[in-house]
Amino acid sequence: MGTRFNLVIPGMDDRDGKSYGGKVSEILAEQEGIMTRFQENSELSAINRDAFGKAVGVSQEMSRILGACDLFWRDTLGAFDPALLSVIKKKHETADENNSRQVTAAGWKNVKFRPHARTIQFLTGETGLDLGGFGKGWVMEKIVGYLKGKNIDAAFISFGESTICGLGSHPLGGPWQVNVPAKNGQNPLVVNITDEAISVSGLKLIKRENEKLPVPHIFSPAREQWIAEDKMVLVQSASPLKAEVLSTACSAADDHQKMHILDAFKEERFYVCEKDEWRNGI
Amino acid sequence: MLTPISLMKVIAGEGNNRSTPNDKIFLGVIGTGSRGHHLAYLIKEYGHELGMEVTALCDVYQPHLEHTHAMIPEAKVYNDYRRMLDEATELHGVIICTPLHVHAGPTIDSLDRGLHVFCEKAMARTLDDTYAMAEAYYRTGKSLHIGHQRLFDPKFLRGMNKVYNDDLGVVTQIRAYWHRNNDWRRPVPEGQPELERFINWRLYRDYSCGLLTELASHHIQVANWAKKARPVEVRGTGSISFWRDGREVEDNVALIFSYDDGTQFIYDSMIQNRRHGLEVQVLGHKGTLELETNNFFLEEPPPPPKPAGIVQLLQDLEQNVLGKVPIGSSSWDPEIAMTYKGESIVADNNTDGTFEQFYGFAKAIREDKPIPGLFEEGYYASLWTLLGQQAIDTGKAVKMPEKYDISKFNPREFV
Ligand SMILES: NC(=O)c1ccc[n+]([C@@H]2O[C@H](COP(=O)([O-])OP(=O)(O)OC[C@H]3O[C@@H](n4cnc5c(N)ncnc54)[C@H](O)[C@@H]3O)[C@@H](O)[C@H]2O)c1
Repeated sequence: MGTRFNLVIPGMDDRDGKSYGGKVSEILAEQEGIMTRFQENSELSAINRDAFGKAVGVSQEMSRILGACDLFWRDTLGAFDPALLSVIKKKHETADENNSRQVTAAGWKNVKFRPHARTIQFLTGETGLDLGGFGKGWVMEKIVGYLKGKNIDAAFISFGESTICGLGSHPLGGPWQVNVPAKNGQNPLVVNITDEAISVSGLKLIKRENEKLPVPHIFSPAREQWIAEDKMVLVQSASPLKAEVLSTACSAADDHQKMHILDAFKEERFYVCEKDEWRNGI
Repeated sequence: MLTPISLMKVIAGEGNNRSTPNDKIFLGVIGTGSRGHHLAYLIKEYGHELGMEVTALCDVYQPHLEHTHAMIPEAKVYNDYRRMLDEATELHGVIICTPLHVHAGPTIDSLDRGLHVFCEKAMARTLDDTYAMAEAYYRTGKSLHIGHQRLFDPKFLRGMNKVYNDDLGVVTQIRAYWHRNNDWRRPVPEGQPELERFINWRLYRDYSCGLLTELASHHIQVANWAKKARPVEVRGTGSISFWRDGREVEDNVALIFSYDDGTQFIYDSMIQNRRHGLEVQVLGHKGTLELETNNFFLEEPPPPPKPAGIVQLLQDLEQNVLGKVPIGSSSWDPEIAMTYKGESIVADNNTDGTFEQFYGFAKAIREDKPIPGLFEEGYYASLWTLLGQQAIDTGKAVKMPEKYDISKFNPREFV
């Protein structure tokens, strides 16, 4: 995941704060140890090394993760695809932004996951797991669960500033309010969240000298290309995981997949920002 | 012990390096080859900041003498350094940039005439010459500054200050390397093959220990400085494996210097591959310095700064304000992979300390006394460089013979 995590719990004394903070850090570290592709010794890295051509056993937690991935892959008609690692890596290596050759060889369709046997196998060498559009939501669910178990009734949690959760309501009453400006820094969308999460996906801006340039970082398996539209998608959901997965999936989806997603996820709210204007929909 | 703070103060100009108009420092340069010419150039260009001026030049090789004389035409020129010392009576100090085996004579003669000496590293070709230079230094009380410029390089000073402040914790290992890819030869004028050994002195055993005295000496100084100690033993090996062109010095070497506390300084150098360039890494249980490239890494990276939106939320909560949390202002960078890249030791890494050394030399000349602790850095670095060569030559672990210990002279500590 390799990203920044912030947790704000209002009205907490120092001792409790340290204790909750410590436990949350443990959850983060434990989950990162399973899901990250940036550490050689994570479970995910081990699977990526070993699973081509032979079924390898996975931990219970990884099995739950893969089960959830499988459901999302089906319910988004493949717009969410956590097995495109080779495509993603290739882009970083070659800076070739339209490298679609491996797409057919990569992807979840080439993953054989057997939940009861708890094994995974890749049918092609190009297949590899990347939980980039999933992990933050998954961990956020765990942390919300932990805090609720401790009877914390208000908290604001931000994961890399792209997946955000408002637990309970603001201590002064009413929902947590989040302001998400368009790319130009203006025309913000104001989202009210109470026991809800939002997740934002879109073009990543990187600083080059003085200007900020968009860099595509979401790959659309259906369109077989990197998403280069200047567009942000925000998904609001009671489930941080759904918000996270769907915001990426909606950015990647073609029209057919979009229709399917809107139909399959009735309780989520979808917003899109194009040409510096927010509107409902995707 | 030479504390980094003391030298930081020197290059910050504390202790009045600056001159008044009638407080000039006149310098002679002995050996106007490549290094001598460069140092003379630095003083000509920037020496006025320190009131320094080169008024005499000496070299036995006419083309080199003329080259530097053309740059500083007002300087007097000599072919024999003894004549220079006799005649150029205005001199306060000399800069010695002759080949390694010609360091001791001019240094000792200059000190004995009451001059302050800046002599390029390493000190000398032999242990006895090195020791004789030390004796002259303690005998005369003048300053003998050896040209290990990292002692005056701001990134090394600040980095070393981190070591001395315990920011790295216990220094458990030091690693350094210096790699180049060239034959290390200087062109010999056509039709004068007899000049080969004179021009390419650094390739021949009589005059040089090659990679050790030319390069390793610098990092040995840094390692001792970081350890606040001298090695107790050195082992090493090396060979001529690639440049088999008649040279006598190794083209690849590897050395391990052991310290009293059981830690090692591991060094290697070669001239057949330049991929890794040069580096000196000081490794402690809390952090790592990569001094040549100006980097410092903590073993436990500090938490990243809070994003603006979270800062705003915290302020609002503290002031009981019901605000909106701004997420994704213009600095918004979702899903950025946060990797810890360490921190720069100094913000502006634009000098290697070569000129800054003259701040120290100017101070020593003006106060007519050495900077305490400085000479000893150069001495032990030079000595252990030569012992490293012995280790390579004998294949044995080499210790410093008792007689070269200079603590009997009660080296001055910095106060
Ligand atoms: N600190 C550094 O980073 C650094 C860098 C380069 C060189 N150096 C040191 O500087 C010294 C000189 O190196 P260089 O590359 O300039 O070598 P060089 O061969 O270019 O210059 C040496 C000069 O000394 C002259 N010389 C020889 N014998 C002499 C004598 N008896 N009297 C007067 N002049 C005499 C030679 O004619 C030559 O011009 C060496 O000790 C070297 O290690 C230090």
